[in-house]
Amino acid sequence: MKYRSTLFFVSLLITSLSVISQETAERPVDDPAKLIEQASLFSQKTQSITSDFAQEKEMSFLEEKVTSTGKFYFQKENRLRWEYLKPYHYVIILNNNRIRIIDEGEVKDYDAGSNRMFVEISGVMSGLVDGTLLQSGQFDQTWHEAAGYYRVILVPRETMMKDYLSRIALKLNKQDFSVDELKMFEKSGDYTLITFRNKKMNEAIAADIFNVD
Amino acid sequence: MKRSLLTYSTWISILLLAAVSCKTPGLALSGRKAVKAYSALADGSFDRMDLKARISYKEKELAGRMIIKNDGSGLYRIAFFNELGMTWLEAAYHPGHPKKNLMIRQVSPLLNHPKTLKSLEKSFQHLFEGGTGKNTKTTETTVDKSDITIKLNNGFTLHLQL
Repeated sequence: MKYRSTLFFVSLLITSLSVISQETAERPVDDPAKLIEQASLFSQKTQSITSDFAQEKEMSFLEEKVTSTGKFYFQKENRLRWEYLKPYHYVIILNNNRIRIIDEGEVKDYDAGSNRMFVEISGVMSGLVDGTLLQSGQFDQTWHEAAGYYRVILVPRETMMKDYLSRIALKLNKQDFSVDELKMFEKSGDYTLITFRNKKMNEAIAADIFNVD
Repeated sequence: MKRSLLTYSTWISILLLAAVSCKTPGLALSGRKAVKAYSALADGSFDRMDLKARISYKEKELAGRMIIKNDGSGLYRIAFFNELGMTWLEAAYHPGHPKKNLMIRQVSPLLNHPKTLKSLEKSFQHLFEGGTGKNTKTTETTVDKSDITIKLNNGFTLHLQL
């Protein structure tokens, strides 16, 4: 009797895993160019994005994951606000070629030239979120798809970017090509995963939150 | 009575901070938490510290979080990264190692210069081993802060905030 029930549960487990595996199985996309075009159309319609985000940095060296959460705001053209709320309040505002960092109330301003790496990384992130980066030619792209999403692997072409990132894995929502997940891999193999939730497209955002004056 | 007790304890804190800070060269400690944390770092009586960190050197400044882990065998693992998750430095510090104290695992091109890394190693030496007995700096004793600042003669500064 005991043997039968064990067998039943093992069979059930195998069947469930098989179903899950089929649902999440990713297969190569036949025509990525077509999808890049569709993503571009979506990004053209996107004037603003507001979203919550959760960030997780895996550090194998320390054998731990560091997490933070916050709010993301994007407004065309080139206005971006990353607002970390936990573990402490830290804001990065990118407004055209100017950067403002507010670290627990302390404000520091930079121009793009003095902090190029920061601008590059922030530019990549905003370009990924609004879809324009896929057309920029800065990365070699590989597309896969599964139920509900596309997985895009981006490998940087530029040397400077390669110093920081070995690749970026994107999870794009199939309905609107918006970014659900952004996973940035460093050369060591460690990654930073940013998950976007409660996305709101084209809603009005107060202009002053991008203020750098 | 309450007020005099408060004044008395504040003066004791200030004197304590000044005494600790003057004892260690190139070091400034601000606030009681900083004194406590520095003491734990110097004698290895901690498991993990999560700090805000800033390194300034020759008009360059790198800021972010620094996590220091004590693995219990006299080795400290250090990770320094910015808010976006980009790693500036991953290294292990071996106090008292005969040749090289700082073993680099990963370093950003912005820090990857022999002089900068040597300065970084010296700063960690001050942090984990209580300094080299030279280069005494002035000390701020504001009690509502919690900062540890190590400044070397060449201007290299490691600033940690609890």
